[in-house]
Amino acid sequence: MKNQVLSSLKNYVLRYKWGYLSGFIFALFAVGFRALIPLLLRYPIDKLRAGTTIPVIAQYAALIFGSAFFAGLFRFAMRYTIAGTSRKIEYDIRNEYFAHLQTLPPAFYQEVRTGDIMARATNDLNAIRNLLGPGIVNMINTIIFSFVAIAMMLKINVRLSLLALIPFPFISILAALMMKQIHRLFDSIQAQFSKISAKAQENFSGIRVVKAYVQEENEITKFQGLSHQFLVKNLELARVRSWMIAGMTLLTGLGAVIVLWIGGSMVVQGKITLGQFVAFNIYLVMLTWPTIALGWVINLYQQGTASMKRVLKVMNRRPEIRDSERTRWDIRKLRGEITFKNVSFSYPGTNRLVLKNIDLQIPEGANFGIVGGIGSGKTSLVKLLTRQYDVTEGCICIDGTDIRDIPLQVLRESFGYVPQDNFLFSDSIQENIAFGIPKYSQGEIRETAKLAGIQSEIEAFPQQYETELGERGINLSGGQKQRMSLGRALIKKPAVFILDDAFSAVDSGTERQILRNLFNTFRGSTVLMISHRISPLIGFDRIIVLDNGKIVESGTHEELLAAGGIYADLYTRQLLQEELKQIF
Amino acid sequence: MKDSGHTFIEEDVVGKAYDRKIVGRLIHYVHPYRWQAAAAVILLIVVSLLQLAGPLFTKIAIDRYITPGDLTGLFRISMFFLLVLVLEFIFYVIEINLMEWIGQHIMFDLRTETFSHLQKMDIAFFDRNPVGRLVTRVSTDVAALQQVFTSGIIAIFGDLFTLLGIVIVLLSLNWRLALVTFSVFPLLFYVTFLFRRKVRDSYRKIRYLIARLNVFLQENISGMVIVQLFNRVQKNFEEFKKLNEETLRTHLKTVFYFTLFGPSVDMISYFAIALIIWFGGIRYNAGGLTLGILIAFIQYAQRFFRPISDLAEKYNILQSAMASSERIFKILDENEKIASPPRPVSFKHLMRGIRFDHVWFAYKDEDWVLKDVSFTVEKGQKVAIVGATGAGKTSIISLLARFYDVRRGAITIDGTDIRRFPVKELRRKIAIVLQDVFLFSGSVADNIRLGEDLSEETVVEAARVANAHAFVQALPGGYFTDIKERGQSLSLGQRQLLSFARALAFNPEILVLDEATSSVDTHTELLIQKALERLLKNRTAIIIAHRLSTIQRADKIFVIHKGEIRESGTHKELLSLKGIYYRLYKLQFEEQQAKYAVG
Repeated sequence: MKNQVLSSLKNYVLRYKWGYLSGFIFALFAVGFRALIPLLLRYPIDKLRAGTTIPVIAQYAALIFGSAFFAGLFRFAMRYTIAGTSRKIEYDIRNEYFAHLQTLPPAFYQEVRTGDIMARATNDLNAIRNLLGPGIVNMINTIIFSFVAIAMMLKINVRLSLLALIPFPFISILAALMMKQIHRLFDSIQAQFSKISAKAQENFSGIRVVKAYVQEENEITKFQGLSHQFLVKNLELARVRSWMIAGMTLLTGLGAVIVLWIGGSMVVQGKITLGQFVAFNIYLVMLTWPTIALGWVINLYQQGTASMKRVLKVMNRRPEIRDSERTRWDIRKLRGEITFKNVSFSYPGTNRLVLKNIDLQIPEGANFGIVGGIGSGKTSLVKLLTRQYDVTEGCICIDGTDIRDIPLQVLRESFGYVPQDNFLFSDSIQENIAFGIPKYSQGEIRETAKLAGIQSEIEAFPQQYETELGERGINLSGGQKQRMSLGRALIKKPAVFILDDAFSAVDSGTERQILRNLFNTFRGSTVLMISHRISPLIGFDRIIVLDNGKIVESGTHEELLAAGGIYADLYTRQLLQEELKQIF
Repeated sequence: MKDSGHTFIEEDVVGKAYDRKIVGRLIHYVHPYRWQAAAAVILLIVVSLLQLAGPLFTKIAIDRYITPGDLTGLFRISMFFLLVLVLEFIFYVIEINLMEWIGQHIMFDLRTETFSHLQKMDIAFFDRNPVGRLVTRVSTDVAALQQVFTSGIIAIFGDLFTLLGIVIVLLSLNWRLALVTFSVFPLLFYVTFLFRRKVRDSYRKIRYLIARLNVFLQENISGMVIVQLFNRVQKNFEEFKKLNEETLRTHLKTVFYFTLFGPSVDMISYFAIALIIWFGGIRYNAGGLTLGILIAFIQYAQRFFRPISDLAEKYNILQSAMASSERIFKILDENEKIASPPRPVSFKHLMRGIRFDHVWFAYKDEDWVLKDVSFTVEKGQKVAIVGATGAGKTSIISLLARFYDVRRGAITIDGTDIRRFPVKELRRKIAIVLQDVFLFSGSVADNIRLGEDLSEETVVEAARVANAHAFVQALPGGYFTDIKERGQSLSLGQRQLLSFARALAFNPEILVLDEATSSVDTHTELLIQKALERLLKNRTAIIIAHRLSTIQRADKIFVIHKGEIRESGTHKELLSLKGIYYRLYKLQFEEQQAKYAVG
């Protein structure tokens, strides 16, 4: 893993090698011009001391400004090039990460929390970018500048340089050590902050219990306890920070004291000139920041590589459900004859079979209903059919071909899937309806909305089909969302409709109307409908009753009623419920 | 989460950096720490002054000792310089810590105050305000204020003082050269504020874009199944890429300003140095100044920038802090709606009974949930309330505990309107067991005793009576086992038993119970029934019943249908009516007959 982290970082850097290379060259120039300035200050001072004319001094003043100008220009060019490059790499990684996420199956999203997946695209990506941008900028800068500045100082006087530079290694060490501490404390402060938020969250969610048991005062005490720990940790951080900041000031000052004392003596003794003394001082000041930055770079490196590792963990995940060498690319279209052959299934990472030896044949164009209690395996059945998961045992065929051999694109094109949780996107109504088709016309959208029984409601909105969902716009009711989700399936004109409890928030009259529309318009399509209410399934070709992962009853409504089993019982109870609703 | 993305965008509106009313209220929080704050300001001034000493030492050393060649003097002033550095170090350390101490204490006070205030709010307030938003108030918003106190208000003094110090020192060293040097100030200010504004504007755009990018990502992660099944992978990738590209473009623009800023400021300060050399050279030749002064000027010129740039940054901090304070103060300004009356009647013991007297209630406007509901529960009676979902059963509990107040009519206990009792006293007499058992993070024992100071024996005894002792003991840590947030690791039945134990530990006179509808296995069901029996003993109880055993044992049953009491009587009487109850019974209770044959 460690090697992979470094090699993938290296790959990104190599991909933009020209950016980094030109950045490096700009850095050389920037440092060169910058290192000239103290020298340019030295001469006018020495000359003034010896006695000179103003035009000579003015020349030096102009030269100083000239070098400063070019130093600034190249420094800007270097930082801009590298920072820009790091942004481009960030852009690349973000795209690659998202594209990879799109290949991962539902099992992955069950396993890893959304927050964690998001964190990698935000915080971790940021840390990586910080390493590739500011990290590299400062590293290059520190290395080149230290070389040049130290060389210049040595040239002025070796002994003075060695003495004046004594505090500098300590600055780097102090910075690195303290930053590590700060980082650790910062993590623990963040954790404490989360605890405070979690406590508040818990309290507000459980406010009824808090009030019912008159726990307000005790809750305040607990909350105060957490806040107080937060305070203590923050003060600890402040202590470390204060030692670091003040310590750095002291250490740099120490260098200045040494130069003042030893350097000053050397001027008196005539070993160096006053101008050299001044130049030396300035080199020393210029060295301060790169020295501190060294500690910072070490930190950026640690964080950046740790984050890269987390990102790679997701990127290394192989998509389990994909086209393979088995795929029969000659299949272009499906008719919709479905066969389950001895299918058993347990969710990845569990042993419990949620479906056991399911055998089922659904002829092309047939209407099948599925009923059963919560956890009986209804939804799992359609998840297998749509290849959100692959079967554990047995196989599912469409038109006689194992669905694992059908190109995913073709398979998915042939389903009009209305899932239980109707997920809509924050986009316009028409974009949501046309979600699964490449092109659409206004007429098609309107026609579909009509079939889905939502046309009049959409057209009552001021923006009609262009109404934005989610973002500040109109919030649809549960029933409207379901019919939107249904429209999204209808517009595909698919071979197979899969309706997973798609009408739970729609009243039964509307439900009947929509189903009638569906059957009339799509006579040839196979329909598989899971329903809690039995009444809409009356008249279906066949109704399957699932219990505990097995098919326990199967037949038409009349046949099942006559059998007097689970189905018949369920039906009686639903009639009773309806009766109760009618009483006023 | 989709929501939070939007709130992020909405709440990110930048307001004024200074609002007199808000600042006035904030200063009020400094008051308890005014002496510490005064000390911090003094320290700050001292540190700023000491920081300015370096170039001055160089000047004195050059003019007085190096030029004449006085080595002892040079050593003396070097040591003096060292002493100043050590003093600066000490004061600096104290100053940073003191400032943080004040800031953190103010934050602590404000956070506690906000949380305590929220504890007084009524349930309707919590219905209105999403939990996430309230959490933000006591966490992030308070944190945003922290900066005002630690690196904001007080530090501004420091920056102004440093700037002022430099100006004074330079003027006193050589006023002519000082004025020449100051000529770059306007340019420096202008460039600083120009860049700050540019960067801030594009930062704002970036924040907006990143928020959109995150919302998009979040949405696609949550809806990935749909994206895949509807063959939208390619198209959504294109959309993502487009957003990503726009973010990149804006970033590159910001990077431009951002990376241009530092070098430009550098150029300006070197321009100042060039001016100093040139003009200083003229003055030196004219005998108007010493080399030491010239060199000190060069050193000071390199220090102009920091305080100016800091001042600009502080402006931004203040701006976002104002917005946060405003949001917090808005919460603090909310009044308690359900409070004890000014002269409350003490509630000692339940003597006669509870009465709902023509009670009308609606959560919103005129959507009546309870319509003219009247019934009486005598002391010691166990009353069951049944009805279909949404009939208004749960609001009866909420009203009795004064989570909400009745709209019309009254609820009385022993003839006294419950609004005349102190709220907490009333709630202490009533134990409420809600259907959705809420468990707090912490140990099992903590969840039974909540925050009360109950002995271990009391806790264990309560658990024993509630039939929870056996399973608690079987847990890895017994009573000290940590329950994960919202009690993920316990089964539904176990959680119910635990909530019974909680009610028992508080030993109330009146018990109000919302039985859970979810079914549990036969063994647990029997445990629950036994525990319930003990829980009800010698208590007055109102139960929203979902158990056959409960309705069979109840002294009286009230049938609520569409917000009204439609039938009442004992189980047998009601069955013979063949009305609503009869149907409810067949729907909700009959199948239990077969499952759990209980007498």
